[in-house]
Amino acid sequence: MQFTDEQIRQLAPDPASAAAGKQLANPAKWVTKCSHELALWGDCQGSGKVPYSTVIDLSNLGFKCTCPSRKFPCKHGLGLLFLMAGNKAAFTVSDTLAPHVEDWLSKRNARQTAKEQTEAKPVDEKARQKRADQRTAKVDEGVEALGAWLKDQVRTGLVDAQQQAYQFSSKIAARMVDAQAPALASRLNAINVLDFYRDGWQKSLLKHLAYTYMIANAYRKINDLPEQWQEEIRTLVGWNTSKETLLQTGETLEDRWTVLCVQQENQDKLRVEKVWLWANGAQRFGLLLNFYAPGQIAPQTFLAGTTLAATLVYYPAVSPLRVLVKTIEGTIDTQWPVGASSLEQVLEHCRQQLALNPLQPQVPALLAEVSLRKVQDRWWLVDGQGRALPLRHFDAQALRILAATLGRPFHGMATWEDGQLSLCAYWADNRFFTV
Amino acid sequence: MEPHLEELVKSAILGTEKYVPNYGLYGETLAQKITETGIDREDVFLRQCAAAFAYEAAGAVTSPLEGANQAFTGNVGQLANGALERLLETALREENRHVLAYLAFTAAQKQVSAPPYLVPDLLDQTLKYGDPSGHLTALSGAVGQWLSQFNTRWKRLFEAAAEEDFDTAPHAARVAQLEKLRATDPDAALGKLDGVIQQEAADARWDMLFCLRVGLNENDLPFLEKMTKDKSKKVKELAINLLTLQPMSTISQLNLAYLKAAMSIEEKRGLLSTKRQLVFSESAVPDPLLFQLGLEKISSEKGVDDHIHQIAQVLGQTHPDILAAQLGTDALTLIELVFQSKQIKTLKPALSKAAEQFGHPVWSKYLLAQGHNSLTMLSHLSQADQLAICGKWLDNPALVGMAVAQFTNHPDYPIIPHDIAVKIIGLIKNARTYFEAPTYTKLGFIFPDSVLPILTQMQKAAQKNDDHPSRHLAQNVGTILQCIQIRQQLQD
Repeated sequence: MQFTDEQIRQLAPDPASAAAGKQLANPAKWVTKCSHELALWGDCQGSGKVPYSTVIDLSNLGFKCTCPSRKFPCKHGLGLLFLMAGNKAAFTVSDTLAPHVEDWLSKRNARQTAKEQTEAKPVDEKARQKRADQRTAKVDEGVEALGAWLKDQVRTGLVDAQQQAYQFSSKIAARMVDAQAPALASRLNAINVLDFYRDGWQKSLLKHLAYTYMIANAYRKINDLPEQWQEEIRTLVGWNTSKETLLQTGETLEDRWTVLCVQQENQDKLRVEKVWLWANGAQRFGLLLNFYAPGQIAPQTFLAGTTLAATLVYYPAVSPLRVLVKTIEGTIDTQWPVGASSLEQVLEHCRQQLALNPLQPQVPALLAEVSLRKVQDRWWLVDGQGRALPLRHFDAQALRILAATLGRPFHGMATWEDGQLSLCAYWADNRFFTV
Repeated sequence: MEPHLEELVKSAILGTEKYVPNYGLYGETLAQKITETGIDREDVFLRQCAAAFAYEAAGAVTSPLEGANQAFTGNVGQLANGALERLLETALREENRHVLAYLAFTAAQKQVSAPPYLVPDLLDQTLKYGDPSGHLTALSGAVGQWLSQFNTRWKRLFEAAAEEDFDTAPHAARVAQLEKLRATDPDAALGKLDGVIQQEAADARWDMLFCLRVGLNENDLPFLEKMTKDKSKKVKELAINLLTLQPMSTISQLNLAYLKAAMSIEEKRGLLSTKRQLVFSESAVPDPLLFQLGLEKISSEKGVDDHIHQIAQVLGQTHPDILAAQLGTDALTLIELVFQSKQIKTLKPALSKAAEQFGHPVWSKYLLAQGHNSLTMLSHLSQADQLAICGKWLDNPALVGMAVAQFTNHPDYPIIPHDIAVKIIGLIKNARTYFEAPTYTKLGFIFPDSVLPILTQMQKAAQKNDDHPSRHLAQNVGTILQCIQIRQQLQD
């Protein structure tokens, strides 16, 4: 497939690596540079006597380099990819893979197979049950404490909340971490990033508190809930479905998945990668959540705007959205989806999703033929019928979208959250952009 | 906000122990059910809130949007593509303003604009780093102008010197408007200046008056003469200086008359040949008006006669060609004669001043050859003469900076000759001179392709060592190489 500079930059661990990689996108820097439909490889003359050998797996994007850099991908990997993007003719097209490339690719495939086999290995059920019981007790205690804290907040009033901006719920969030209810802790930490100096903060805060209370309350009565809701509430508290179980019992979908958007955010010390995917055949969204510790290397790289042939498994939920990768066969010809052409239809889809599960924080939706407009200092998305929905973005982001689309109709993908649309990706004039 | 949500928020702020809202406002049946099944007051309140917010989300609707379509309807024109597009994107992302300036120059040559998706970054960086050449603003093209209506900061980049804005615009903008107007309509600019200058502070008056150097003409004389009576000494001196630049001004006429009386060229017969020499008359006296306008009567320098001191001052204010004609010779002969005179030490600064002020190429070239190093004088020479002078400057460590600045600050990025480039590379290699980081970038754009092998070899040699100077050298050479490659990519 053909990568764009923008896509390659998204792969870089930091801007400095991207800049260094860009400098290596020069045929003169590479002693050899070969391309094959499965891989790219080349030898880059560095400061040492022996050139660094760099290999890129194109089917299941991955990098390997003999340089000592701890960054991943290193500048050589990025440089080779930049060179491919800018000067394809500089590569020698090879019908066969070089031995070291073939060796690495086969090891990579073998690892993937071994991983699948390991995942199927049986576990000590007795020990697992014991751990689960211990955790259940901790979570129960934590949820009780959370309910009491929430009630205390509304009993005494939120008038002083602004003075505790950014640490309003820090202590109770830490308590939830101790209680092994990480999802509740994240939800509470999200309160601390609310803008307490913006009009309407009181409503946002109350909404967070009320919905968190609903989760805590539902968890206390979890056995009275329908099965699907039990799974949903357990997930919202922080119970994970094990990958092994999920791979065995989850809803599997083999499809052509378009990567719509890759968002990165930091939660405490973890880097959270949110990959929004669209199944072109089943016409469904999937949200892949990856959590990385500092320095941890992502085993799989997702590029917004590309399409993968892959099999994913949905986590059980009231309205299943989160997915786990089972297998990725490779990248295929890019397919960018087209959504509903009226915003009323988009909103109807969001209303239906929220009716199914009012606790989901954001609802993804595809857009078609919408354009951007600024009215009274606020940005709106307008459809062909002149109906509009407010956009969450501030001027800086909105102006970028406006420039790229020239204010003309475009297709895109957005999430509906708190009564506003948040544009994640859009495509216009055969170009794919992420926000 | 809906009334029932306002009720809930009010209660949440005050606390449920102080204020319990009316829950029936959004759905009586549901509210009643929640109240009936509640454990306590706060449990009821929080569940009522959750239900109310769910109701709100379920009831969201689209709005009709008034107002005209804001889409771009113009012609985007020819857009940068291929290597130029990629390089622009990279330069903007890395905020490499020197590379960006070169790319903007190239785009101007090719008469192409930046692709629309790059325009917001381009306008932001134009505002941040300035755009003296105007290439960056031009690069944003019609799309930039259209986008500027959505951002007041960007709008400033495209605002013309509109008359109605002059009275309210900040000082720097007014000066810029005056300079711009002066270039196209000097009299209109003068009229505008005359109307406001007396209301300004001394520094602002000086800035505005300085605008008159652009398009200076005879019509400015009455105004400038009026300004010679300004309260500020600084403003007064500037007015006098501008008057001396106009041959028809009274001060120029009096200066010329005085020099004609004070200087003459006489022939002195020797044994074998006749030698011409400059003679300075002590009896000639400047017009009293010149003293009133600041001419110093008495020399404060030991060994310098008062009349020589006066001649030096007036010489610096007189156009070389006009003076030479009055003395019956040409400018080159005149400066040669001045240099041969015994008073040259006192007169030299005056010659430099005249060469710089009047932009005189002959005197500038002569003075530069005599070792008077001035970038202003250099700028009055032809490209070939500039290169020759700068080539010499490169041999003098004290002048290397000036020479390189002359090459790198040229707005048209002319490629310098191979031998001069090699000289500069030699300086970099021997670590005799360290330049500021942007200089290496700019050098890359003006070095000829022929130095590529030398630089590549130099980089490889530097990379073999691991000491700081070698790494520094390798990095700087790498920057130069990268810029040469950028230029080559744009030529492809």
